[in-house]
Amino acid sequence: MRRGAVLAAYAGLAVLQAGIVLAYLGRGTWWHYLLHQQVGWGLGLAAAATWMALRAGSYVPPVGAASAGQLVSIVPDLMFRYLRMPHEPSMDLWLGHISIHRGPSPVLVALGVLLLGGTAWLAAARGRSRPALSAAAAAVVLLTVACLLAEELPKRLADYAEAS
Amino acid sequence: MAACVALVAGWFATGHASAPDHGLLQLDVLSLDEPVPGLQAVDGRPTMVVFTCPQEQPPVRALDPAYGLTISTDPALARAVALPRASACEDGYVLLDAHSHVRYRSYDPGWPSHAQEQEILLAALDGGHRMGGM
Repeated sequence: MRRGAVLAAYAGLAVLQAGIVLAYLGRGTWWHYLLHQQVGWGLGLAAAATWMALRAGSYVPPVGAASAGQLVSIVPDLMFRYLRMPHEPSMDLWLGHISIHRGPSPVLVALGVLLLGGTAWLAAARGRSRPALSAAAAAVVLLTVACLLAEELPKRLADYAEAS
Repeated sequence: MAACVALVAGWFATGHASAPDHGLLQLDVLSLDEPVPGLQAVDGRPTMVVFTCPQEQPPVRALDPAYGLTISTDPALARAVALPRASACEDGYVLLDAHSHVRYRSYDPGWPSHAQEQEILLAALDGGHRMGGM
């Protein structure tokens, strides 16, 4: 019975993920999906790893942690879609949702955050607290530095011309 | 994680940049507020001006009629709104508020099927929305 419920939950998450993928594809914003999904998964796993490393014997399922992180990272997109709110720079509060686009190599940074978060979770699951905490911290630092290095959003059309 | 590595590899393998249009592709931030000579809002309504190339067929209208929609194939005007590649058939658009100020600009070759995105931004312009905290 419990096994069936777990399988149903995973199936539900898979369907939800497919829906999210299709939504981004339908809007021509696959690139945005690549960024926010990886950052969300990575920081979700990093947070779970930190929890597991600091509380011996605790366990956070990786799929749940990654999904929670992804949900946090796409809050501005949900606000855009369902509350009809354009994006604003203050939405960086949602895991660097705006600045990551204008930082150095966004796709690679997002992948790096995911790999570090995943590494942190794997280390924590094996009871290796120090490497887990180090990798989790590195994921946060990587995203933070990338966002701090991000170029400002253009305020004039001339700013776009200079960027092109 | 392996799936994500594959997705990222696929992204680069298909010729995409790490930051398309310098990270400004369909960012949905209304960060601009300036007039451009030659651009006028239709009937004083928030207006979308699509920039494309002369070879393109005029697309079917896909925008709420509450908003203006015009198509331009003028390369000089495209350059004036920082969409120079529109002349080479990489479509883009700008959104004008009721005062004919350019408030948003983005490349978007798939713009005819992204009406919802454009209408959300146009509705924000219609309600006097202004971005804060830049």
